[in-house]
Amino acid sequence: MEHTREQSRSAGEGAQVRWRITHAHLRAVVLAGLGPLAGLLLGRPDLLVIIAPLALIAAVSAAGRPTGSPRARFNAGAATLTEGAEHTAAVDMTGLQGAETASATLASTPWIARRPLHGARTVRADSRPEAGEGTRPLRLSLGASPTRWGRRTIGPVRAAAASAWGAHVWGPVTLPDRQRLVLPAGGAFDTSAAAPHPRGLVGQHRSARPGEGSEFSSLRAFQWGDRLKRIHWPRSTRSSQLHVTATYADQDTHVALILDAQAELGIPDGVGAGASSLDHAVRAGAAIAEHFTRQGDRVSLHTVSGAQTRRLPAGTGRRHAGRILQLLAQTESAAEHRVDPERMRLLLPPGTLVVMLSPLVSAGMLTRAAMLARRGLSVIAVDVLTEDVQAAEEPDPVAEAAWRIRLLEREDELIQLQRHGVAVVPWRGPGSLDAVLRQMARRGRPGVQR
Amino acid sequence: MISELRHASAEQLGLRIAVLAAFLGWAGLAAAVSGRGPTDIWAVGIPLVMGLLAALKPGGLLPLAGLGYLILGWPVLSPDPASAAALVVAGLVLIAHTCCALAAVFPVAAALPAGLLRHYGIRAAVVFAAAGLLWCLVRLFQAAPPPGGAALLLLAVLMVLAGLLLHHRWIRRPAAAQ
Repeated sequence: MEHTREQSRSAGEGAQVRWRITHAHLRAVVLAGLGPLAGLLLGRPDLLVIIAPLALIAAVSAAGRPTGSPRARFNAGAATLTEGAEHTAAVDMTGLQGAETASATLASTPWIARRPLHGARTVRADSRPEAGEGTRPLRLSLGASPTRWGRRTIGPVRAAAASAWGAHVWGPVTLPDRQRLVLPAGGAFDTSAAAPHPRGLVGQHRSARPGEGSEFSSLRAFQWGDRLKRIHWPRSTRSSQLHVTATYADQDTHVALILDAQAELGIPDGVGAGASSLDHAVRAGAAIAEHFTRQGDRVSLHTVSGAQTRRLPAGTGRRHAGRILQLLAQTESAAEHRVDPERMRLLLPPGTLVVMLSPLVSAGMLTRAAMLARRGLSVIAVDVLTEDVQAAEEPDPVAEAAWRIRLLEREDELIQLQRHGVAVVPWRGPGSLDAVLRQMARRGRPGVQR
Repeated sequence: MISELRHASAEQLGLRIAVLAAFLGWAGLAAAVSGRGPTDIWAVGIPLVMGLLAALKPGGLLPLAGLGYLILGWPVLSPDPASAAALVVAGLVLIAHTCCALAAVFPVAAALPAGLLRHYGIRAAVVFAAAGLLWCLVRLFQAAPPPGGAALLLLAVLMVLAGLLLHHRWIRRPAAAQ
């Protein structure tokens, strides 16, 4: 519905503009008129030769005035995009009868990579006479690939058309920009380690106790309540007593993602280039959520930010993963105004695997992690302040020294955090959580993973 | 103007260089024909400045002023009305006008469609051929001035233009009428 409204709005704007003559046509007409007069006055017939090309061009241009009523429509493509993916916007133009060329220019906006380099494209409208007339539009494709997650603006676009010899132009018409939600690219993330503490009765993790599932456990005597299809007939006929096939229960786990959006450290430079700590956190969250939802686990998301705290209840499946990505894409960085450790209950049930994505510089997040671990939950703090996060150039040497001192304090705080039972893991992409998850599955105390 | 050119496509830069070259060509020709030398402000200085301005801003009125100077200044600098240099000037004016027109209607950063410049080259050659025909007529009338003088010449030119216009309309008539 929104898409339809966008289309009709852009189509209406293009219809108000008419063809107009250009300075080039005016020049040809004026000089073609002045030349003979000057030639007659000065008695110089060679002036007729000199202005003859302009007179001819003026006559041909006047005779070939475009007759169509152009309309342009900007189509920015899908409502949600993924960062780093190739995306193409299009300008569809109709009513180009008599036009020779059509042009479109996509304005430069943050985090949108344009193709061609400066977002301008010109095509010939006269080489395909059927295009641009009637219902079949002439399409000008402009590459507009988002390079960073978030809400991004594509456009505005300026569209124009011109007749032969550049004598008449239509436009340029400004077509309004479009807002698109750009989802984070989670990248490859896979962990071969099972999630600890599986609960519930669906999922892909084999539990330690028998129940409904697919993996064979044992053969045992029939009990009331057993399903008839579980009866193992060969064993039953040999022993003259009904036996059934017992299985291990298939179980899932609840993975609670807590995203720390209180600070953005480093300079973001788009996907595949420099990343800020928030970039790492959002992309790691996307990767982890996609991985666990794909294998049937329930994943919830809690974004901690002073701008807007968002929660998404636990769920599983592809659609839920999509909801998580949309929520991650809307993350805004802002410091919390007030942190009350007493009110940090996140209502997480026992057995939940808490994955905290944070640069671990905020006292509030460190306190949260410690409190959750003290409650007996398995807490993994994914440190997104990695080596590749480039801090902004600090012109003030005092501020730079202060930041170095803060980093030293942070090292000490991380050691304290690990003593409280929180596993601190630096984000290194695929397999980052393998070792710590295996350790948790064995139910040892999660150790230091630096 | 200059900041725009930093993002200009190669074709746009080529068109603007062609505009400047046409003005330079006119200046060289005028300096040679008039015998005033390469330092004359009227034959060389002003055309160069106007060419530069037209190349930088091909979409405004500056090219009109520049081309007006080239056309109206030629009889002042060239003593011979039947000289072949007039044909060269016609070609330079055609180049400057066409390149200014194209540079003005396309986005600065846009690469032009394949074959468009070649297409315009052919068009310009056809137009120049018509100018060449006219120059032959001028030479002819210069040798044996017809009765009626310049008025008759003007009438002939208008008849040629009208004929070309009719021909153009005929070749572009709607398919249904054929």
